[in-house]
Amino acid sequence: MMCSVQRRSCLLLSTTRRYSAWIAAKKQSKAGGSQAQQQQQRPEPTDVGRLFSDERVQGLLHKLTGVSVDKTFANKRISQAERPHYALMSVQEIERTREAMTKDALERLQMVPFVEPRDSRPEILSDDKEIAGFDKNKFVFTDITFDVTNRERTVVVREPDGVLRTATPEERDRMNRVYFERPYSPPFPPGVFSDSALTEALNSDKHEFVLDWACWYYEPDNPEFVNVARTVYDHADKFKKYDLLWATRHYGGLVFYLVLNHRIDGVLEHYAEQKKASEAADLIRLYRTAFTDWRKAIKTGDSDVQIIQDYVEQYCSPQSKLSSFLQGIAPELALGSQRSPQGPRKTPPSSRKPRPPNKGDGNKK
Amino acid sequence: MSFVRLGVSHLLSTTPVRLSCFRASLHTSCRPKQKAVEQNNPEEGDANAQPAGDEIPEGDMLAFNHVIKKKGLFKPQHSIDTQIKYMNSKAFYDAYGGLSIFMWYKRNYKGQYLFQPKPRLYCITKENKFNTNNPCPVCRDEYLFFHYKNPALIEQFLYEGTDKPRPLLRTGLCREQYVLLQAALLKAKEMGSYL
Repeated sequence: MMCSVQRRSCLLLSTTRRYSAWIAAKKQSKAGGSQAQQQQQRPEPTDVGRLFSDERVQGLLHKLTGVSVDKTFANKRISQAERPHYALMSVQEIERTREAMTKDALERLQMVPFVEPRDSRPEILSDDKEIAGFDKNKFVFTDITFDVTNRERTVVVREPDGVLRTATPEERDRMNRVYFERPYSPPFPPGVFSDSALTEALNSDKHEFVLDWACWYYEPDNPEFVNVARTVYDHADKFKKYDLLWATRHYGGLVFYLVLNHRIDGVLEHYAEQKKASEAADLIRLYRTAFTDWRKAIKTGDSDVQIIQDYVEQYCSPQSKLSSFLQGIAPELALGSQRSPQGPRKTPPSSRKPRPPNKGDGNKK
Repeated sequence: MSFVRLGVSHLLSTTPVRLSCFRASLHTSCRPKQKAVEQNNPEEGDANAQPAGDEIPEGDMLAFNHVIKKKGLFKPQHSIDTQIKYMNSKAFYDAYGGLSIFMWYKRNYKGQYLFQPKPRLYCITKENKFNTNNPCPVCRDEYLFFHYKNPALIEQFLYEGTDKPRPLLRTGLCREQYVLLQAALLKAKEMGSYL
């Protein structure tokens, strides 16, 4: 599956889109613009699928996602009620069962492919003006041969004006849903993906449910899937509901999306509240892997606390939750971070001039 | 077997009646009708005041909750938001005691469960009038109707932990309401409001 995604991301060198569909549109920033806007002035990648498939990025995303057997195998609503199963086990048997369940849960945490939405236009096969006006409606012809995949299937459309063209991706998906029925996959999109129903579902904390259904229903390169995923991720970031998606197959997508849009502060504060230093450090490592033109590169020997401290002194105010978290885990290092009396820095790293050496610099490497 | 009615003890007491914006449901036939008074606390007990925000047409004989003989009367129409508020109110808890709404419902049939007649086709006619004095659990409560935005009510009629509706003869619903239950369940699944 991963190979086909990589091939696809090579082919999807978007010719019409200058910026990625996953990154928020750039705004014209003034001289005193906000930190986020000034950061976005740098040229952004147009194909984020390649970055997503990178080994280091994948490794970090898997680490951040984590594994929770209680969450993956929680009680779910099914059609037929089942009896609970009780077993008398020795301690070794329990351990072996737990390991097997963890392994099974890891398999269920395979991440959703993160690709640019498709951009193909129909190709005109022939233009038969003699039969123009043969009917008021279009005719769609689908090749339902069994051993053809849904993507390579021949689907053509005869327009009322006599043009014979290949189907658009939306028409192709719809025909596949009609002729090859799958449960919970109606020909037209279900109501849950409409704006009002989506908002209500998200307000009831149904992020995982909506994303699971979107993955089942849409292809990962469908623009509708991109819209739904972005809405869910934005809602989770706005209302700090990261735990709903933690230890699910969607957490990697959420984190990667926030990294692309330079919005990792919310997640870092969430980790600070939960006192998770290694996760916070991994997220900062991921951010630096994605955007590497920083003055301070990460060395392999850097500890988690060191990485968090570097980030805090570059971007955060002394009153932020991350600063207080740092004070909690490493008071001796945190004292050195509150050197500058001006407060939070507003300039982006690439345009920053080299800092003059400070006097209390004894702890810095 | 003595049939214990819920919510009767407060009728026999001499404490003053509490004010509410929800009508008392069922089992309060002994109390005389009272005028609509100002609404203080929506969470409180029973009264005959109309809920805020719902306009009931004047001149129609409406089958409010305190009315016992509903045959020939019109069922009031409420919004789904009122229904959700009602289900969270004290009036609802006083009437049903935290149980499913069909638990204390009994059909007018003197005999064994196995030999009861087939369920009624409908309790409410096309003109929105009741055609019976002992309607099914959902039709008899003026605030209740199946809607995809209120999965709590739908869930009461399903087997616990599944999406299968309970049999009609067990719950006492009329066949029209059973069909509406199935439709609301399907819509709740599709719109993502299903629990």
